[in-house]
Amino acid sequence: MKKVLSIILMLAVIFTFAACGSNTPNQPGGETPSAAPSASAAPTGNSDEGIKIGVLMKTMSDTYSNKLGEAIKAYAAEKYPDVTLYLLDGQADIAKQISQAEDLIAKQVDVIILNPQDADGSAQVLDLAAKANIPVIEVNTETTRTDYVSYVGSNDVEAGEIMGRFVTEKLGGKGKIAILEGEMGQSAQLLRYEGLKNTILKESGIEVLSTLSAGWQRDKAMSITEDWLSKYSDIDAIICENDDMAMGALQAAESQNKKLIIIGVDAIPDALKAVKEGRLSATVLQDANGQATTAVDVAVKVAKGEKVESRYVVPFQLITQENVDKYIE
Amino acid sequence: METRKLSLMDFLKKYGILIVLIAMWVIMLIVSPTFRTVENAVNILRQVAVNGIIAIGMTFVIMTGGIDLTVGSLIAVSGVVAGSILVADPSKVGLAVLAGIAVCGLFGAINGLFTAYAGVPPFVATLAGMTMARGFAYVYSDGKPYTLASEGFSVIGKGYAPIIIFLVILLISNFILSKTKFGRYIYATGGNSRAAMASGVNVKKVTIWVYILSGILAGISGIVLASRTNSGQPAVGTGYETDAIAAAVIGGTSMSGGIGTIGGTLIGILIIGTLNNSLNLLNVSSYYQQIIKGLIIVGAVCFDIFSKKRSK
Repeated sequence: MKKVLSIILMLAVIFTFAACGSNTPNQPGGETPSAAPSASAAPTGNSDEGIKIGVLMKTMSDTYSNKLGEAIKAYAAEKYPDVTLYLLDGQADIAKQISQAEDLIAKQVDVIILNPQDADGSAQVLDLAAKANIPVIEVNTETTRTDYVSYVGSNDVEAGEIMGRFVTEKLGGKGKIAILEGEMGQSAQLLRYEGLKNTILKESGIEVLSTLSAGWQRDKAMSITEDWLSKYSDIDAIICENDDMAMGALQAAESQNKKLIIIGVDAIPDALKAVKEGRLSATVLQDANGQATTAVDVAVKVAKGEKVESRYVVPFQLITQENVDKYIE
Repeated sequence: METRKLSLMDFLKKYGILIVLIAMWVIMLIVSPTFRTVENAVNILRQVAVNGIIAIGMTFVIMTGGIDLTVGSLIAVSGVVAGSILVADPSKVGLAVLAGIAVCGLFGAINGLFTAYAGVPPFVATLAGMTMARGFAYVYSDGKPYTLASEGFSVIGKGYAPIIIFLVILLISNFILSKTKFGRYIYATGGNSRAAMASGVNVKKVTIWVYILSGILAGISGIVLASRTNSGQPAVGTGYETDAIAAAVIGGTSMSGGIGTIGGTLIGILIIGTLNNSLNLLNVSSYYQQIIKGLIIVGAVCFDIFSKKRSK
């Protein structure tokens, strides 16, 4: 019995450690006096001199987030050379994002651009910033609470609808599909799936064979697709909630010489290449550049005390073989 | 009668966990027509190859009484190192593979040095190694995935290749553990390191080599995965160490060292692979999959312990 317990305990410890192994201790940034942002009212006029913008990226490691973060950096350096930009990588860890917010507040930035790791958890950043009187602009993903100054992003429901309509049309309203979902419970997963529900899942001629989550990951998507292909020989299309999974599905289909309709979201470089070569049916572009430039423009305006809209919607675009050349860099 | 009963008990004692695997297969063969296809069996083997290779390294380490939490991160390290070389020149497949594996071996050596000479507990040393290796993968790749377009490299992850690589490693490892002096030293180190030292085994050297071996195997696994997905990604492999540990433990490797076999780990990894595949085939929702997986892992080990106790 002792042995059983020790093994179970050991496993439990390992799992916990693996889950939070990369936390860094919080820095005592929360104690900073809230006098900082009042200074931002001073540099009026058109000078960007002295403006400090903090950016909290949820991660810099998935292809899309990396593109967004890099675009923010590049655009700020080019258009606002006098603005100081602090960009922090939250490494997909909510605890890390919150402690990074504390660091930014300690640095007395004028405005924070938040790319939330988690719709609920990241709302805490809003609290911390509010206490320090620092305005927050959210980019790409929205928190469940909406007391931020402005949101710059795309409506993920639209991405789902574009995919749903495209596949319905390609199949002529009749066929068998499977759906690869992202990390369950994240807003991109929930909303993109809602978009599918609004379109293709309403079609009576479409049969959904299976819906499984591959957690946005290419290798998992590949394994699941392999399993599907051996179970359903008559599968017509696979809808993927991001491009990494679409590339995994494509890899699996191609290794079995099967030509399926496969579509993803994000327009990452290798997906664009695959669309150009006619291997991947289509991808939906979430416009990283558009989001980045709008977010930085809005942040600078807020720092200068100018009025901004509470919402900027950057539209999604369907990319197929016909228009792919426009998007390849 | 008496002898038959005894032999049945012996059978249970020896093969308790194998019975769990066979039971899973029988149930799936009845329930799912797809499971009966050769294609699906090949799928399972291909999918377990990546995890199986690191589980073998993990078995060596656990048998010396240690643990290696770095392997998941090393999968990413090997992928990005190989990826960077292949992006620069798609024809340098050999160099890419060797470099990826060598860097991981180096990380293994660092783990070994810390545990063997500095006396840092393996859990702590490799926990530190885990975050450092992950950090290295991010820094090295600047956080960006490498997209690979090398014909030669993609062969490694296609068709039967991953299965063959896995089987070859399996056979070599089994030989090392059961037939060589090094293998006996591993058992001795894990069983009772003081006694092993007294009888002339260089325990420190054995420990270092075991971690190097685990690092190298993680490197090979990373190469296979990078080839399979045609990309070297710094974020890949997170949490893979837990499946590897689970496979070794399910296969009867004792967490306190000294006990374990490569065959047992093979059964462990097949149980996990069959489970993942079956849950996909049965369309079990992603929410439930994780719970069921945990239950079956604990259940399998309980069954094994129970059958061993009964037979005593």
